Amino acid sequence: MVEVSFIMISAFFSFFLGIGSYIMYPICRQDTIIAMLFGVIITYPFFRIAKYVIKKNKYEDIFELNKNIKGIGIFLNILLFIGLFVISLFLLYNISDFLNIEYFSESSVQFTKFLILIPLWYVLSKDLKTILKMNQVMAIVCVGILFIDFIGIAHKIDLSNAQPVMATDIKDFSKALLYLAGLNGAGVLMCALVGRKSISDNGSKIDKILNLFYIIANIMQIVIIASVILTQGINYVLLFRFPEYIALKQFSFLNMAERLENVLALQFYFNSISILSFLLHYIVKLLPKSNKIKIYPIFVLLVMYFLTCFIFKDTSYFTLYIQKYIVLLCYITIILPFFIDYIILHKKVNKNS
Amino acid sequence: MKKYIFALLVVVVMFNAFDNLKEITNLAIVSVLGLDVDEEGNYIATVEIIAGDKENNKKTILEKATGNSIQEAIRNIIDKTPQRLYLAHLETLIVSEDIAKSGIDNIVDFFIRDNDASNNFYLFVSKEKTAGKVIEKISEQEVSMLEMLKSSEKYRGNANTKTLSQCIQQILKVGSDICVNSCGINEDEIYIGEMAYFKEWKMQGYMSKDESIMYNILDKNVVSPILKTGEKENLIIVEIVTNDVKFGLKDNKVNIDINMEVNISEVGKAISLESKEKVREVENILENEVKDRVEDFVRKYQIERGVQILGFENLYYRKKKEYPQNVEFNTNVDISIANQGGVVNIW
Amino acid sequence: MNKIVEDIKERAKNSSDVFFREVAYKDKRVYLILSDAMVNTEVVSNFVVRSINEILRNTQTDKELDLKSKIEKRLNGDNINFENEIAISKIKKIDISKEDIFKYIFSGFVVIVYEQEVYIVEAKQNNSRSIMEPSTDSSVRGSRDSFVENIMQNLALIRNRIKNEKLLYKEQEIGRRTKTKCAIMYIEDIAKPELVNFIEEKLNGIDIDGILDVNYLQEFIEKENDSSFPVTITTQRPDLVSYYLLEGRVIILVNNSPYALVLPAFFDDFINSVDDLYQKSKNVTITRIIRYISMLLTILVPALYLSLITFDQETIPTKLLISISSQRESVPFPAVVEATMMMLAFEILKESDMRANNISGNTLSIVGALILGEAAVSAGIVSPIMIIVVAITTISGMLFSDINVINAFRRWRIIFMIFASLCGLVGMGIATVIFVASLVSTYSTYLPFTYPVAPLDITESMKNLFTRIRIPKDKTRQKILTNNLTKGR
Repeated sequence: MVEVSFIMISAFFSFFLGIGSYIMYPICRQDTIIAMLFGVIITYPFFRIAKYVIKKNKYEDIFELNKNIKGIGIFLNILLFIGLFVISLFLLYNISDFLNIEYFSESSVQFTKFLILIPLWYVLSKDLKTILKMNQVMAIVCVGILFIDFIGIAHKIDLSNAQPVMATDIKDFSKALLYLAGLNGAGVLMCALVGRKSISDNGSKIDKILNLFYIIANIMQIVIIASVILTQGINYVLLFRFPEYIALKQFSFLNMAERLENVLALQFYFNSISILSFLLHYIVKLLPKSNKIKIYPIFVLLVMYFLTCFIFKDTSYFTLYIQKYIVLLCYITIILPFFIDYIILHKKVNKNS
Repeated sequence: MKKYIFALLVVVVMFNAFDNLKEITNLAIVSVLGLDVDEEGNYIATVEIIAGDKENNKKTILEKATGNSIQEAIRNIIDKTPQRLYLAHLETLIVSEDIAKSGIDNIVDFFIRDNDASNNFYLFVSKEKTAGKVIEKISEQEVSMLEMLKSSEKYRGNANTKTLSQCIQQILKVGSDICVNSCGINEDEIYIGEMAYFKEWKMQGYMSKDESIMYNILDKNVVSPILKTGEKENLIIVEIVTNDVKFGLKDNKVNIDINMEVNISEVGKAISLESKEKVREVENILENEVKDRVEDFVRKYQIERGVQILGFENLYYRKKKEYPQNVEFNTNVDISIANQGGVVNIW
Repeated sequence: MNKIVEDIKERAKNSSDVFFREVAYKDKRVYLILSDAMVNTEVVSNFVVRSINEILRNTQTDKELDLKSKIEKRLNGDNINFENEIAISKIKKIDISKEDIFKYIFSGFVVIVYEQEVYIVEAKQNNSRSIMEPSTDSSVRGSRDSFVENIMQNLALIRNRIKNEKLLYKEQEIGRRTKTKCAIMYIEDIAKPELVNFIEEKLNGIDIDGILDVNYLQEFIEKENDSSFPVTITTQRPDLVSYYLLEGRVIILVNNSPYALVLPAFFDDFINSVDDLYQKSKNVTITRIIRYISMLLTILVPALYLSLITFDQETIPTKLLISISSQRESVPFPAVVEATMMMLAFEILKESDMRANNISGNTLSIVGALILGEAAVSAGIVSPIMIIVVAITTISGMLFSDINVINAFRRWRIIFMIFASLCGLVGMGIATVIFVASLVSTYSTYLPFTYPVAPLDITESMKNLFTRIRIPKDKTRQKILTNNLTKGR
């Protein structure tokens, strides 16, 4: 059970940096910190749905559960498939854009996508247990690097950057909270993709472990936002595309280790690869198999590469699509099927008892 | 067999990264950069390059070039040296007065977007006519501006070490402005001069020496500058040990609270420090002196010239209040003598 | 002559060390067949031949027997009962049509043929060396005896330490022509039955010409996953083996090999050593942290150097960058070529040090290091910083004693260097992902290789990963290895 909960941490990180935070900074400005604190409470219903589905799902994964529901089961599977596929397209473009801007400024974006696809192709040839274990190791490494980051940046925190407090009006604030709930809810529900049959555990401590990891993941998000906004001031943050990397440029430990942002920013890369390998594993598993054509993971990766070349021709397209479409996509294609599953499972339990 | 073909294809694809490969011997490491504008509006860039020769000695090279924009001016230096300029280890940027007066936002755009420079260098305004002259002197005498700046901040108090990104952050905040160090040449030697004060992106003028020290005391809470009051027999010279300045809003007025601890360096013959009351007297003299100076400073810059170098408008903005037309302020100073230097009474 | 003996003579006519002897008394003939190289001639002369003579002459004459024995003798005939009377401790009667007689002849047994009955008697000579200090494992404070090539002596060393009847020793013979004795040992109520069944199935399915060393068995057991790290521990120390037996692992011993094989193996067994149990637990924490840091250093340092020099020079402090730049002015090669040359040269040095015998070994390595260090720098082929990088790598690599582990680290070092020279720091990130994925997917006999870290188990990792729990407080065994959790029972 522990290795499934580490997926929550990876999903919270990689959905947020570059996509989620980029939506929230222009709306809430310096109240983003308070919005994150409210976000813990707003995402709680989705967390309850995820816990219930994990406990009652006795098949291998959520797709088999849907196949056994009469009527709308296939429809739910199609929705989930589209959601996972489009989210992995967004994540792929996001991380390759990050690498292109900060590390390889003289090559094109099409090349940096390959740097993501190469380790993905190797990891996808292994089975689910390996992917979960690798995700666990990478998440522990990223939490460690985050701790080191915070020690190095903490001396520049200036609390006056958070004032004026609550200067945004209520309509904008609640809109931002809904966006945050959508993205974080999708992150939490990633855990519920795995069913009880794939986890070798007696399941006696599911509640405690999931609660603990939910709190840890939210605390980590709050720490990142605090160290980005409080050290720099919101007007400076709004100038950049990846303000978390710019915040790392101020890292200085004992006046000695400076300019380490290139090494420390690899944590974004590790997170994105872990969560992408998890999503793509299920996408490859869901595709219909036939005896004549065997679907290798390399085909799916190449299809994703060409799709991102055509859909996102430029960074400005990408930011436009993020701000308009991605939260709606999360609500319709991920949260809705899980909600329907929750209702159906609830009815079944009530019928049986 | 399939595995090896795939591995070969992978390696071949990754050769694309060689566009970004920079061999160390092809890099010219720049430590000081200077920018000027000439009459036609072209930029002149002057750089000081550090290189090491075989016995590990440092030597510096000076280059200069012109161009239509900053990027072009820096690129044109390649006509003179074969190596590519590498700005990641830049320490100081010296700007001429013309550029500072017409607004430094033209320059800042280049540095924020540039990928090499990481914006943790220091900004200077040159008091000479061009920045090029100062840089020629620097490379002739091989001084390190960084060391001079740091010791100047620590012991004299008329400079501050704010990097370029911190300056930009402060300008971008609502209602606050910056002050920038300056440097000049005096009888063949480089010196760090008074601070230049800005309003938004444009430079307005220079402060005097004492006012620079006062600004640094109020803004950055520096320690160890020296205060002096009185003359001859009433002389008191103290050295600041700890310094705590707080700005607050009370009844719609700005409240400045200063708490200092000082050490006595020299006293004149008429001052005696034998008993507690006499020490208290000396403290009162010092407190009145500091209060007068602070009020003069604030009145001159904040109110008459409207330059928000102490950030009063930012204070009102943070508490969500309107910035009034005539700002009023109170000053409370509290000085305590920590240490008399081990001597109880000498006169 | 006896037909059996004729048959054996015909089959062994080209081996001149098979020796035939006939002991006769009146009309009874007893034939002895033995191999000169394997038997202890003193035992044969003193005990076998003499006691056969006594038995033959001991058939008493009619006068000395009483009536009952006389009747018995008439009825039963004049049979000689070797099995009860011969003066050797081990004797067995075998059926020659079912068994391979030459296996016994070449194992040091004496074959006694009397009419149609065939007996074998053990009279083996001890040909192996005596117990000495271990040659590859080193121990700071523990005991210094090591295994030898004789399986019975190895068993004696283990039984000396664990005197429990539940410590089982199951022997079988593997290899068609070598007929090597291989044995499994485990403690019956601690080890998991699934593990023992798994290993026994694998061993029963082996059909091969010959087993020469314990590594042959290692390859049969780890056939499924091809990872570069070893999944079994080979050791020469009996106290290490006893520690693992008490934890619930399974040992495999092979005749003629001084190494014992321990299954299952986890990743931190290769880095921690049992000597830690013989030192104070607080100081051991720092030693373990140093070992993990040196493992990271030996894999990452050349790749880190390459990526910092060619792609991301801004991470290096300014003064160091100027000094490196002035050193590299005089070197004609790019950084990648120089690094490859130096690593290759050091690997050649290490390999030649291992192959050379003691006379020329030490001098060659000193000369090699001197030449590479001083002369290459002053000739202008390499820069001094490269020598330091290679020195750090090699010194950190010497902390590990198992040759498989050193080779695995070398393979990953090369992969990291390739990726770092192509893409810089991002290349190191790619190689890290591939390294972690490969480590995490290895299984050591169906148990995960990276046990306390990858399927995370906090209580277990507190016990033995960095900090060592104190021995009086250590009351439970590991859940993954055994079902019998409480110690002292």
